[in-house]
Amino acid sequence: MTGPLDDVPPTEQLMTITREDRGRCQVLTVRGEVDLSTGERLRSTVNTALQRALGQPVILDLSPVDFLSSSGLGQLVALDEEARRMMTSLRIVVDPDRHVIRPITTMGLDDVLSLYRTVDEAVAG
Amino acid sequence: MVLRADPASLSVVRERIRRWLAALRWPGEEIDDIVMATNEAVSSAVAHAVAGNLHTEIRVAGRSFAELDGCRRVIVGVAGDGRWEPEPSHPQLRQFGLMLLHTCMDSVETSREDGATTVLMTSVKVPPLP
Repeated sequence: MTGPLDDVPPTEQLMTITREDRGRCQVLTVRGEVDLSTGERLRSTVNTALQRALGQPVILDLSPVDFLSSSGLGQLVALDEEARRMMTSLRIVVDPDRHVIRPITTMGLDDVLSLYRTVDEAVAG
Repeated sequence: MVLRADPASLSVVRERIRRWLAALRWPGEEIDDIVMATNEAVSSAVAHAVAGNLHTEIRVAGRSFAELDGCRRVIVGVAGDGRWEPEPSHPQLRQFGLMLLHTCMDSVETSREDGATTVLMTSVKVPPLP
């Protein structure tokens, strides 16, 4: 592993978030990598959704995420607290068979966050 | 490799480590573990540097070796200015941070000298190449 650093990809390409409404729920789907460079944007996007939720559930679909670091987990914990303060439920969808979920269980966050296996389950609540 | 202490460098480090291990035909799950651990250590170095100086450099180096029985491991070293811990600094995650590193790697050693911190992480053993 030697040589100079090649082009650093813009963080907009590293992580994308799309939003759609499913009944009374807002569904935010995150693709790509959640790390120290993209976590802030995840935080502010979900925060905006929480603010306009007016007590209705916000679903954060992380199943297409390829990488989740501890800084991303920190953002999830902060958002979960934020949602509770706003009396809104933040439901997080993760695929339990993918490696990406392991940091969540290692850190014991499966007891803290409201986790669902699929968006359908999360919508049903 | 030498990188700028910028959060945007992280994805490049992960990609490089992934490519390097794939070329060594490392098993997939163990690649994920090594990428995870390296990302955590570099994130800590970056977070520390961003608080101080944006122009700081962080050095990352990796080497693979075989043991007497032919099983293989890699050592990844991360060095950066200042005094930092290899694990995440988020208050609620801090206590689990080292656990996360230790589930990904066999050993994690931190040393400090001349105002810089170096973290050396040794991976778990993987079988010899057939």
